[in-house]
Amino acid sequence: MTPNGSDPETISFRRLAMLIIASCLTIAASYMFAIVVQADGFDWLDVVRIALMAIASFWLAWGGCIALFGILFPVEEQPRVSGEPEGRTAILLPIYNEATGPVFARLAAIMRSVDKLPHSGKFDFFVLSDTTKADVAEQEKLAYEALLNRSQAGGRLFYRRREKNIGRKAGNIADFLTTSGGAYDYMLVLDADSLMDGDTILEMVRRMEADPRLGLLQSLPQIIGLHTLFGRLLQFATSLYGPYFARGLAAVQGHEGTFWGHNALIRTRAFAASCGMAPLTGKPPFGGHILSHDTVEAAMLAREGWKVRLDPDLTGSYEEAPANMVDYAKRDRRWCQGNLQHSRILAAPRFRFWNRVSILQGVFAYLASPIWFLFLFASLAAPMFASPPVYFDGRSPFPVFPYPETTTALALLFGLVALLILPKLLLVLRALVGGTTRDFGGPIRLFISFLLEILLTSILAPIHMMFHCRSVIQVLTGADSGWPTADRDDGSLPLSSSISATWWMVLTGGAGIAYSHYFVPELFYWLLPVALPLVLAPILVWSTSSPALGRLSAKLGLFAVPADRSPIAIEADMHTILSSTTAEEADLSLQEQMSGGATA
Amino acid sequence: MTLPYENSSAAAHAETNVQLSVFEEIRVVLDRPDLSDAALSDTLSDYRAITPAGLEGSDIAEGRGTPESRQEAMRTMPVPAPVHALDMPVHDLNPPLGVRFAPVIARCQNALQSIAPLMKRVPIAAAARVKDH
Repeated sequence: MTPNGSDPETISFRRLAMLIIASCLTIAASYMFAIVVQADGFDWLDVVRIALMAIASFWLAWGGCIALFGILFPVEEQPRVSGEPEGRTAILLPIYNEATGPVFARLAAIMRSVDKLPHSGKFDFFVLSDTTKADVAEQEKLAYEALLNRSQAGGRLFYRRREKNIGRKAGNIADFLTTSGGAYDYMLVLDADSLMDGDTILEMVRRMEADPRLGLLQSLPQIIGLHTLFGRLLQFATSLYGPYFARGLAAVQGHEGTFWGHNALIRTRAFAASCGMAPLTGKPPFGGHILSHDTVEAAMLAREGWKVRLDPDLTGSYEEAPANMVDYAKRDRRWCQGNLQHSRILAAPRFRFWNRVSILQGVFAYLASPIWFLFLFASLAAPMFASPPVYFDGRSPFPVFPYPETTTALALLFGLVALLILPKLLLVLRALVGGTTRDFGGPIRLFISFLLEILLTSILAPIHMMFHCRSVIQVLTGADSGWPTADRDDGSLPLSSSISATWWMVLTGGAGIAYSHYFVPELFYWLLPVALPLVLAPILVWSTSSPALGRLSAKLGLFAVPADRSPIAIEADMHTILSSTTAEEADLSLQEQMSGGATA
Repeated sequence: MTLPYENSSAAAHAETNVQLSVFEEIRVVLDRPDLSDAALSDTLSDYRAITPAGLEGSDIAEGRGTPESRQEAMRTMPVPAPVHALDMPVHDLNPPLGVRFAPVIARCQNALQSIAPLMKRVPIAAAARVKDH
């Protein structure tokens, strides 16, 4: 039986409601903006600005609606099933030139957690390496042997390395399916930075077995393990708002859900039959192997009649995230190429409606920034093309003054800010009223953290916008100017790396300020909230990557997350394993050095 | 009295029997009945001692060590993953327009055929008649 909240009529009604609300808000914003800009008459640039404003505000309204629906429609309780799972599950860890120690420590922690289950024999583990560097591959092999020895998991733990990483991660998974996939009913796909509790994995398998049409079950990974200021900000935001956004998504996507590429359980036979992707004709960036394959795989499963579901109540699923803005932008650059490439498969045959919406959302996630940038650019250029006001148009002997539209302009501004802030404020109020503030440092600290989060994300937004614009331009032109290589274990960035990643933003911001000061002084103060963070980008990127500021915020109880109060067992386990293996390696290396010295 | 060749044959037979029983033992310990003799033979020949008991692959093959130490060593053996391939047909997500609209075109043609008798009859051109014959 279909639960009430996920029957097709309800889902269709919610989708329609979301579309109507977002469209109404867009029309209102565009209408108000049109009133403001036509105060002195229309020209072609005004039409462009109104169109850009309409697209950008629809994107904002859509995001706001998802959060609103997350509040309105709580998670449906899935029926709990007990007993031994019938099928076998392969837990897959695809890796590619990763830091070997942490990757195998995470896997060891997951294995320990699974081994505590009464049905641990139903789970096998695969390290699927696409590593291209010979030294990293050697380390992986040694780490695999060490883990095999420690965990006594012969026959259940496997390591396989492909010499050529054809098709990247999708090709890696496909290689598993076409060699060993038939031995397993389900596969749990992880990322190199994923962590999952054994209980969560078992619950996912049980849910999969309870619904024979369920092809993919996505859990909601929580971001953990970040200690920089930027990282704590990200953790706080995803921990407080993320579950509601996920609920909102789940409420409208129904069985045409999405796949985030990891921390998801998949029915192997359904996936193998449905998700083989032919490369697109032509050369990259828009041709070749399909990148960001996860969204596409979800769509391919759904078009074959398999359910693809996001269950936001599945806790015990974790991932790490970039600890600073430059690493974040690097990751976005990779995703941007894939998401823009998806514009070619938007009209793929038989895709379900909501899967097309998801793909379009993915494209827009990166196009929204250039649209905002073009809007700013057009707004700065508009006064240059505007003709001087005409007070005597010849039809009347009396002067005709332009009608001031200050009130409408302010209403529009507040409306757009409200679209950004209101969903978050509602979620904070819900936490305050619902008494769940203890996990976030108590009511006062939660509210201060909320205000600081709004302030910091507003300051950092122009920098993210510029990174996105650069990524889109690079994808469209096939260029990649490279990134500074300054990977530090604690996620911090040296100032030099920060400058080298953002110097062009300083120039752009400075040029914008100078231009507005000399040519359009009436927009000078309006431009400052965008241009000033760009001028200060190196300092902002560098300071937000500071672990010291992160520690300070933790000491003050700001940006607190539930994991601060009650540490996550599997994460603690992973750190214990990592430190013990590092100590063992150090001992071995010391012994080798001593024996070498003695021989000498 | 036994002849030398009989002795060596018996020894070889006994050795094979020991090996077969070792393979069976490994399959039972690892709960992997799918592992072939050839795969296990390869695994044993490559296996280096990593357990405290220090049993090498050859030691296990020859049946040395206590049952506990043998089981411990077997559980650290990097045996191959199950081989059970699935077909993964490739789907074209961006087919040419002719392919994509083929069903629509077919439907249009069917619809046209159904109303063809109602349409005005047009004489077939002489050239087409010649081509048909």
